[in-house]
Amino acid sequence: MSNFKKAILTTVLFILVLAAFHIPIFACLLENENFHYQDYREREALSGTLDYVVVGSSHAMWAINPKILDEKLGVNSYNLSNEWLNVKSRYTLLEYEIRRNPIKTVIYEVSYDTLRTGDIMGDEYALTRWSTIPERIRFFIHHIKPKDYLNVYQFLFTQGVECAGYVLDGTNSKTIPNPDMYKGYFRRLDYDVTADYAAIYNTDPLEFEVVDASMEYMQKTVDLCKENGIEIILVNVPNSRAMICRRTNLDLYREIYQEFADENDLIFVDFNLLKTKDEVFPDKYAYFNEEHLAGRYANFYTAFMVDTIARIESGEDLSDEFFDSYEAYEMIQDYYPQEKEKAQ
Amino acid sequence: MNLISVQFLLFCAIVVIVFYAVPKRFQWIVLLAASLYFYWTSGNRNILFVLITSISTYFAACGIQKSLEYQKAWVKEHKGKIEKSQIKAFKEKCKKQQKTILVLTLVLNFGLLCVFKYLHFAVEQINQLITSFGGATAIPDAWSLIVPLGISFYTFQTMGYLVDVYLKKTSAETNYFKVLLFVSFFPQMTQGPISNFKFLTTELFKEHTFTYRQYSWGVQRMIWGFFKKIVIADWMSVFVNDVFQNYPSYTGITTLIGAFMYSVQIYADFSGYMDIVCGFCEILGIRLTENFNRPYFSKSIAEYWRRWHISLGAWFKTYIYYPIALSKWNQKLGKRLRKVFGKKVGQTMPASIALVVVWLVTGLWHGASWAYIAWGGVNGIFIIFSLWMEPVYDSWKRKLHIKENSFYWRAFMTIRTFVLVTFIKVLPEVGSLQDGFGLWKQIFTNHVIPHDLHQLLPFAHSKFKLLALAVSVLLIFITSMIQRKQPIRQWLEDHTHYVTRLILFAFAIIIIIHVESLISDVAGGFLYEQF
Repeated sequence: MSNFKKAILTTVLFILVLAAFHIPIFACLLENENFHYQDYREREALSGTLDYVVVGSSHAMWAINPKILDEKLGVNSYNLSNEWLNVKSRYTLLEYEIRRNPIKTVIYEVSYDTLRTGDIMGDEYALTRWSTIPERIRFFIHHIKPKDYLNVYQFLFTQGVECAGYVLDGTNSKTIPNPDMYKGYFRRLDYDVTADYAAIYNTDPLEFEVVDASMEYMQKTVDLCKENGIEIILVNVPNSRAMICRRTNLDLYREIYQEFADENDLIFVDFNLLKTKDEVFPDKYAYFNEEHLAGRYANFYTAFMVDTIARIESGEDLSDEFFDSYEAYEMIQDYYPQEKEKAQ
Repeated sequence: MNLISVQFLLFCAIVVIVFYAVPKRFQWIVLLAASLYFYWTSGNRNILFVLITSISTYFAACGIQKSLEYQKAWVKEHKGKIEKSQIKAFKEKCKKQQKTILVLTLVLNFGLLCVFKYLHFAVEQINQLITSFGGATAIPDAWSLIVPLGISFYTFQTMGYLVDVYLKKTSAETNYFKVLLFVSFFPQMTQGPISNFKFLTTELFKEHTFTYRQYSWGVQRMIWGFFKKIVIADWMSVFVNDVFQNYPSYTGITTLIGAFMYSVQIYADFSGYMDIVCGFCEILGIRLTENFNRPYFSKSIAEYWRRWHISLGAWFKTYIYYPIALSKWNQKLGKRLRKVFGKKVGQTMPASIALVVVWLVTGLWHGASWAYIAWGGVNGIFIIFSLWMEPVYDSWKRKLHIKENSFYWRAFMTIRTFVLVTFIKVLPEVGSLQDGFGLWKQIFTNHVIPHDLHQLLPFAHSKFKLLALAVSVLLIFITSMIQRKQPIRQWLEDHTHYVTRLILFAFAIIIIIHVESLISDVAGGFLYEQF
């Protein structure tokens, strides 16, 4: 055999060996995708029956429980959210589900990170939301840029190794359903996130940033819903007092969402500005971490959210129950500098 | 273009394919085009400096060569026809002319190097001196310039060629583009090796035929290089940086372990780079000068420097050490000292003077700071001290009946050298010279004994990662031991099945790709690129 042919044969064989290493890993990943708390097969089984959908990032994934929605509203709901899910991917997922389900209502979660989330973040998780390989490939081609291929490959491989671990010890989703998961919602344990608020005030400033595609795809999402006669409601789920204390520029994002909601005649409720938020969702018990609600309070929040939306839809004026802005919320906090000076 | 990137690998693949696809007489042109493209993508200004060096070197070498040939022809023509003194005068005149060309070109190129690397440091020192004498004015300190890629390496390489032409060790190359390729050959530009003109051009300009073994061995070596760099060097740098930045809060033992880790890290980093570039060149059928020969198995500092960064040491030996050591004034000094103090002093003093210069320049080459100058000085002191103490050591060994070839003696000397080398290495790496001495002080004065692994290695948050790193380092050690007898790739061919090798290297690649993601926030360029 000539040198050149031998080199080509070796290279091909090498690639096959590399592929052979990956096949079992990716097979485990595809078959046992209970990682990141959603099983595409569950959604596949519910296809054609869903009429109420939640879409957002981890804030929504861990805060809005479809079980409560189903009980209170008599609907068949699903939580499409996942960590870091950016606006473009939300649109793609939603569009897919609208095509195959009789969806009537969409709860669209918005927060300070929704518009900042760039292209890649969250897409690697969203890759695994699809039922078939061609669908995944299509999503991959449309959402993942070449510069991010290596990151995505590394992520999927790592997740695959984790899934392989579940298969080997018999705890994969096929054998043992995860009690913390329900129709895309993932229940988290609660931890005390109380902090020294005065010490952390504005110590983690948020640089204001809006990714271009975000507004474009948010508008496309609203247009898509309207075209299909679907009511879309924007919500910002509660974050802890500690998070609001730590961050800055939250009003800038709120104003964008309010303006967007006004222009598109949508309901927008920022539950962070609920006047009783810190009593109803105390930092000591209600959160998994500063930015995410925990299991018990997620159920309560879901019910509360449903009731609040119903009240707004019935024409009730709830402006007295909410602050106008984050600044207004902070001005009455004991950690706010003006209050500290007055107290002194 | 970063060597640790998909772009570089794609670039290499394209170069290899085109290289073997073109007629053999055009292969060097492919290398030239690739080198210029490599420079272009690293920043346009880098090409400018490469061109300045190559053009000045080309014309200077041709000028010197022409002068030499003219001199030879003139002498041949006039021999026997005119006085010997006239011939001598003419030769001296030609020599002066050649020397002028040489000196001007050396000044231009080393001057450029000094401006980029040392001007800022020089201005800083002058300003400090002025202000320490209470001076009111200071030179504006806006001289921090970005050093052109590879300038340290190609300047030395090219000036070595020019000196060789002057000394008639080699003839000047008359094709400018071949000189340009010699200056700019991209695999060796960022970190060497610094090659001799005759050696490198023989390799670059000969006709290369593709062979399976070159391809297979070259790829294996590249994979090994990536493994050393990414899995060992970059990963270890996480721990080392933690220790160097926080040594005052660590125990002496922990700091010492961090220092040892640095020795391993820099070896894996630099030799990993060498494996990548040598492996790539091997695929092309081009041999490069080896830069490492199991340096941590050295039994003395002098031997260490014959095994570490071999090409730089060879350059300094050829172009600085020997010219100084064998210069007339130094030889005269040696003779005088021999008359007064004896043979040993007469022999050792000229060598010592040359070594002082070599090591100060070596220190400066590595970095424009007092820490690096001190580092060079310390290396020089150890080597010079060993030279002077050689007869004393020999007498001690005789009295104590120490057999130099005994395993225990060799082990002792190896470990001793490794410890010494480590202490010297860390001096400029911690930050400032003060920090370097501070680290030494911490090692020697903090006697707290750690109670558990966490206290011993507080910077290591994962036992698994530490274990994986330890296994990787053990792999380097085992490979080095095997390479005492034969190349590791030959050993693999002799002892493993073809399929086993495929699996082994596939596994290595998977580890390389995924380790990189674990430490991607710290993995950066190669350490020696900064020089």
